[in-house]
Amino acid sequence: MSLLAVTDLSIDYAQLGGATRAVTSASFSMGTGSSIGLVGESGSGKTTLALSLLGLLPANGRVASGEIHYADESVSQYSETQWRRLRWTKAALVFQGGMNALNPVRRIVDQIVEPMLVHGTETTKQAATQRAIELLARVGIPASRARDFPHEYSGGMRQRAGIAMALACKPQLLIADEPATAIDVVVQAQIIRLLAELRESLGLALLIITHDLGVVAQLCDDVIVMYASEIVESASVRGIFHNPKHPYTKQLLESVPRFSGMRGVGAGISGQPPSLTNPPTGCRFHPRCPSVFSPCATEHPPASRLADKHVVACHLYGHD
Amino acid sequence: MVFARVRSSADGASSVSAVAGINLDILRGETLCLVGESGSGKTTTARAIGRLVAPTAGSIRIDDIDIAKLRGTRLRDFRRRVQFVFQDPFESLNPRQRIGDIVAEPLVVHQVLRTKSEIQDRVWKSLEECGLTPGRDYARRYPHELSGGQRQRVCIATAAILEPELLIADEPVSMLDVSVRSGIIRLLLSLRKVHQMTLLFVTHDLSLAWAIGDRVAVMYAGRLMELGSAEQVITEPKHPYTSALVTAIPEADPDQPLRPMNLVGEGASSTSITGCCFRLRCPYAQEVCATSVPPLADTGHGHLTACVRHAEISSGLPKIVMGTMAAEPLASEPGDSDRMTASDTTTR
Repeated sequence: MSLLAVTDLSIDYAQLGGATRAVTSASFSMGTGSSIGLVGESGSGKTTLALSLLGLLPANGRVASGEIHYADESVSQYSETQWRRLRWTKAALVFQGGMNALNPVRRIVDQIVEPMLVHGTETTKQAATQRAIELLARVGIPASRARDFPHEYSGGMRQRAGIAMALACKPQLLIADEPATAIDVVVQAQIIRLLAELRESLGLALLIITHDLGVVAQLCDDVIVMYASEIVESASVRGIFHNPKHPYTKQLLESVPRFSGMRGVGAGISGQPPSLTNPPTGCRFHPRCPSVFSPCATEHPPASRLADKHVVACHLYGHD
Repeated sequence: MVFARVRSSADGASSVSAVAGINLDILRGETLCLVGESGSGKTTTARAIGRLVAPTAGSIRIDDIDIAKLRGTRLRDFRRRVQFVFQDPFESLNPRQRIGDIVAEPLVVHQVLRTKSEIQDRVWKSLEECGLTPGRDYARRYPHELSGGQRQRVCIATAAILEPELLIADEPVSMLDVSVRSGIIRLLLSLRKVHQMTLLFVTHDLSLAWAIGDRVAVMYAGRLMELGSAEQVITEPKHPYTSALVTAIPEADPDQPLRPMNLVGEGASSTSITGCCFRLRCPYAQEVCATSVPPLADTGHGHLTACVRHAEISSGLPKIVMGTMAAEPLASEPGDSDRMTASDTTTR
């Protein structure tokens, strides 16, 4: 049984003049200890999808259809009280950029203690404090800095503290939204290594939301590529990087400069990311796609399973 | 040939030096990438070269004239020769001006063209050169009607319309989506080639510097750590900091394992450490590193490094495994400018 299963999930944002679909019919599942990278550009729906897994959609967002299961429990109809019980203990979120996620006027250690007491994973303040200090040590912050305020921390330390806090109630799944953006490369490298090490030692499952393909290549087993609210391709990390199928995935990979490739800059992807309020007909990538042909503008491409894990939604594949 | 000569001297006594002791020549026609983490002083250096901040000590010379001394028409002439593209295309455009007026402003200010129709034609041409076709349509729009990539193209058109000799691009793609970044980079490289500009490219992304730079300068805590050709600096780093930066970058290849990190701590905030400003984080630091600020020493073939121990340690520094390398950087590939226009935006 999988840890998390998402089936045919669609999410709408209510807006003036109607709803905008930010996630369209997304399906995927995660096993214990697995690691998935959710890749897409801004506006592709990746963050919305991640937030919905914790019942954290903004007030104008709602799950329009589909199911989210944790183990065998459906959470789609959860009340806020039920979500509160699930958050932190089953799955926890590591926010992008530590500063906004931490309360600036409370000491770090007290902020980590809070979820443990609220969720009852520790019963006394003393025990919770003890565990908070251990967690901080676990992510590389010495006990002498536990009583600091967030502003006394560097950006990298704040990100570490955010990770320690997410671990407070022993969740099985960590959802990290751009965990390594907005920090410097050296610190980013340290955070990536920390997440890899925690996953290994704690058996954590990781859902990494990022636009950085390097982070995905180094940290994830599987990759989901989103474009304009839809999952366009999903495969093992090697399948995506060595044998990408969808023209969008291919071009995205070519857009990233890398040391082991040729010097120079790839052509990138022509055109602009589409608007979700008025998405292109047929395949949403067709106005930018170099391989566009007759059905692309009118017919929506169905998902075809090419190999065990490799699924792609593109008219180039799956028609026999 | 040296285009600009940067000489900054030692730290001021009572103030924080964002940049200290930088000696750097920018060669005419090159793409020089200035690389560093946030707070390394790369932006300050670039802004000083463009005379947006004044050095407290030292000088920046173009054609052997100290730019700090320029006044009046000569300063105006300097501004025409050196133009900027900034990081944030959402904040660097006036939201209440039409694109056409934004791009025309340098022509008006510098009185390059006088009649309205000349200016209009030149603006449309410049917009189209930057991939905003048809120019007359874009000229009528306001910044909020454009995407981030298109806005950055407007910023580039505005900077390039005077055909400056030096274009300073400060993190021009870091705010943009991955898929539109390469289009912007290719635009800058193609403009550089067509108008024979010198390009000073400021970035935190060493893999980008590898992709486009003729030479790479690595900064840390306001000082220059290493300078050389892109091949020298990235494949054969002589400074422990450069080596750490290179190994820190997550390679977009699942078969390359996470490289070990031997760097402790983060971000350099202070230039007040005695000796080498990097020594507290450096795994190779010894007593000698604390005695004096290491000079930028030539290790041969124009490869400079500011590490007193480079001769002993550089052969043992962690390096990355390189894949196939093109002999020439993209800028000199044949047919590049053709592909440039092909990758442009909008209509299909």
